[in-house]
Amino acid sequence: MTCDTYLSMLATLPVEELAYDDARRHAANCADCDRVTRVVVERERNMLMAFGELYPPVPAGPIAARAIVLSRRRRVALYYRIGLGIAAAASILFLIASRQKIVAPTGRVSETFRLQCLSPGQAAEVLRPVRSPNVSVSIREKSPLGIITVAGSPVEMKHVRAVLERYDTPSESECGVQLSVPAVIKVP
Amino acid sequence: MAEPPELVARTREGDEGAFATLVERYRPIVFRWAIALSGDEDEAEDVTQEVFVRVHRKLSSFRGDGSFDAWLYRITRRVVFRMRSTGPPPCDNAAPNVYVTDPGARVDRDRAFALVQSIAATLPMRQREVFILCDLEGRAPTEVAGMLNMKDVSVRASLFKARASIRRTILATHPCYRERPR
Repeated sequence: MTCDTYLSMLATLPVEELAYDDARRHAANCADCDRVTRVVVERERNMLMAFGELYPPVPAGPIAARAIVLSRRRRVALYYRIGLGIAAAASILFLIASRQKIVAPTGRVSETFRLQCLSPGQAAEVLRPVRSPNVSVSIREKSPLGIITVAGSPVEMKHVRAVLERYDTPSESECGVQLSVPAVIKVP
Repeated sequence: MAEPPELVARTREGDEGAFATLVERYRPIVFRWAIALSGDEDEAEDVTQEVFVRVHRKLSSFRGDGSFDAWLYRITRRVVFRMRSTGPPPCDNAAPNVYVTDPGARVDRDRAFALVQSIAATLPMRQREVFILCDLEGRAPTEVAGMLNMKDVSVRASLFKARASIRRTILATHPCYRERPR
């Protein structure tokens, strides 16, 4: 065994494995390799002793007591966080649900009707009995198109559509003839 | 003294004395791991405390089919990495050359810290872990492989590299080796 072979073994093997066979014979006959091996053995032993002397400065009792206290606090904090999360989610769901209820009644629908027989003024007259304060009718008197725009709640608009279908249909009414509008129209 | 499985079982049942015994037994080991992984004494103290807080909280999740040491080591490792990623960077103290020793001199506390700091400075994390667990704590590579979730052969390879690195540093400071004709 050469010195280089021995040193390459010394670089990676545990020193106790060098105490056998060829390696041991080489170290016994080579003063340099023997010295180097002694240095490594001695310093590694010191390293082991140093590592074994490392002790935490705080005694076990306080560490354990503090660990138990902190562990319980964290467990409680976890329950709080879970509770807060559930409460926050419930609040958000409640807000969403209540907002939908508020929005629904105030929803207004606007619709434009193209008149076939009636003039916009006549249509406004026809719609007068079904008009509540919430229903607004806008007309353009000078417009040649015969258009009327009505806005109201979906229920009111349903009545408006029914009235216009009845009085603004060529088969049902005589276009150009002066209509006598009843004071009250019963909507089905 | 009761063995870890018994202490774990008693702690689960709410026996605080058993937990204190568990801490007493594993406190130096956790502290050494923490120093080896972090290279900083103050950080190692904080890590030791935090590890035992987590042990107390998560003891119910320890199934007991594996080694308690391995479970504890994984917690220590996670705490060190978490502290390093969230806390300030550790002080970069220039470690003295602790591989040069005075035969017969008492290995004092400062010297021990300096030694571990120098190991931390010399070796990459994986090699450091393997070197500490195998060569300084005397664990078998198979056991270390289980603790680190590595293959046995990878542990041995890392150990060889770590030893080579440490011994290169030892020998580089030794006059008779430096002057030796090669």
